[in-house]
Amino acid sequence: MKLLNITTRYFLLLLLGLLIPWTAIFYFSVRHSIYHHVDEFLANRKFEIMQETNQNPALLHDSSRRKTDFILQPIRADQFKTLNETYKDTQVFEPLEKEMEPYRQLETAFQCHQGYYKLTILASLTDNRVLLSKILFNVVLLFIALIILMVVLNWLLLGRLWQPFRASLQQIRQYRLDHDAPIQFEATSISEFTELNKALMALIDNHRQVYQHQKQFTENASHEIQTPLAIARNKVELLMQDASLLVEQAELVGAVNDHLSRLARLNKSLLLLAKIENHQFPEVQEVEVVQLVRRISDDLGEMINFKGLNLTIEAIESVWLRMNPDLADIFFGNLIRNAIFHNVPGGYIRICIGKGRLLFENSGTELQEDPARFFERFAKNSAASPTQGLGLSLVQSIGNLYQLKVKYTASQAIHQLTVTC
Amino acid sequence: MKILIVEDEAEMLNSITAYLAKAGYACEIAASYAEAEEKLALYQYDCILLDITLPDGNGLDLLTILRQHKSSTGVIILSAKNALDDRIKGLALGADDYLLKPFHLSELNARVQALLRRLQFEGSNQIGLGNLQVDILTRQVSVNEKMLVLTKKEYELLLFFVSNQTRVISKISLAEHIWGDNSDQNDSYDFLYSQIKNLRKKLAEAGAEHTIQAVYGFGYKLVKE
Repeated sequence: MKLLNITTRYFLLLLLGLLIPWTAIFYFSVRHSIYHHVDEFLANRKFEIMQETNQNPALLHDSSRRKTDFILQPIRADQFKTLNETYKDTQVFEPLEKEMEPYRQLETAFQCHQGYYKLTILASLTDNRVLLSKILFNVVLLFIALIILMVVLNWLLLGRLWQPFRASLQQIRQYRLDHDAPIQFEATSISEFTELNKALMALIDNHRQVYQHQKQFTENASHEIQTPLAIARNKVELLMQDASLLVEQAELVGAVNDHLSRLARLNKSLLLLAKIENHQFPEVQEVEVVQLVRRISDDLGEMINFKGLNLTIEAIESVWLRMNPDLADIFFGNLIRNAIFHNVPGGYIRICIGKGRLLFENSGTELQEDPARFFERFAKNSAASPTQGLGLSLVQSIGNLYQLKVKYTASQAIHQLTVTC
Repeated sequence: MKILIVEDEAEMLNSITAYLAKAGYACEIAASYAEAEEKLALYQYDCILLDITLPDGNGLDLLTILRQHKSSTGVIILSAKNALDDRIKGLALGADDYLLKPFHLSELNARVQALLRRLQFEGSNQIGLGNLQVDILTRQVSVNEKMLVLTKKEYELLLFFVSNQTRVISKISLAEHIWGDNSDQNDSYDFLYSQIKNLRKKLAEAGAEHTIQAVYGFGYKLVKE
């Protein structure tokens, strides 16, 4: 939910919480004062009628006055004692309008010239009711106007005030540490956004620098380590050409050569991992998985035959992934190699390619430990293995880079690597 | 064949020169950008091995200068940087091949030979060695005019041996040549061993004058019987 919508919501709630009780209080106080006024009028009228009838008892029986605002009825003494003076609302039929109209009625009794009388006085409430509803209507109108005003204001604010924020957000979304120059935000007059932009610029700049240093270090380390390694290996190779070597010396030279080569490959893989994790493979393109898997399998075909493995590729449909082509090669190459090299003679490999899910299944030996461990660096099945134990680490790093989830499950002798994309 | 080796690392330069000189190439060396620039202006080379990170300049600039003169000299870039953009840039600027350090001298030698063969227009695509003929275009091998049926990897191995004849090639460099990244697996040595065994058998059956000989424990060599 947008920040402004939240504030609007709270403001609206506050407004309702304030306005509804206020309207109620306002309504009842106006009503109360109207009734007070009408009742006062009725009481005065009663006083008037009593005075008039006292002075002129003939009026008590004057039927011509009955059509006015009061009714006089003679009552007995016992009725007089039980009758209390009451004010109440009532409805009276108006023949002119042909409908019931609200009236206020005063019922009272009095004694006059030894007779007891019940007096009922009526006062029309119509005008007052109309006034009250008009006031109420206007209050509600004011409410609606306020709410509309707030929504409009909301729109205007969202459009205008938040513009610099949205511009910065857009810039950050599109910003790439490995590609772009230092970030520059639009200037804004809103101090909060200026502060935010400043902090973001500092943060991104800092990251850029760290990234650049790391990148440089990776490349320098590569150069610094690979060159002496290359020299050492080349010297050994020259030494190997020496026909006068004794067998024992030759064995030593051979061992040195083997280990230097292992070291060189190890360094290469570690640098590759570092580079992947530093996002130093920015070029991406659409890679078709079925084609790629078929090509890699062809390259490894003789090795697959040599191990007597049965390879089946079930390509349900072509799957396109956006990734760096070199990394795609390493990713799928390592998955297939893993299935070949950790297989048993005469085993099988089943590769299943469908949208959203790629499966690499192979026969192998039963595992004693959690297969997820093989994603860790230098995790090997046995310590004596000449492999680096980096193959699946690379797979996972590349997977992380492109949101491909790789899962390793093994049940008995069947190993499955599932890639969800 | 004249080769210019541009490389600032003296030890590396010595090793490459020693290996390639033994293979019969006339090698000249340049240890800096300036030296290389001067030699390129003065002389004509068949092939240049170019290190792109030189203390006084970028090897890629040398490549640009060279290609501006429309020189047909073959160029192999030697680089310790496995940066994709370097590779793409290098090849786009007209390099013929790209070799990542550290490399095996036997691999470098094979690449130089392959490049020089490609560049010689009038040269045939045939490499002859005794009664052995390799056609690098059709990837066919024959002994005494008789076809030898080889698998893809066997062919690659044989070509590698032929390119490095009479040299001892370490097992690891053979494995890396045919397997690349897969060479650190146990199986790749077993596989290599079986391939060499097959190759040796096929050569013997066809009556080839050359065979593959195991040297000490660490490598193999193509020798005349």
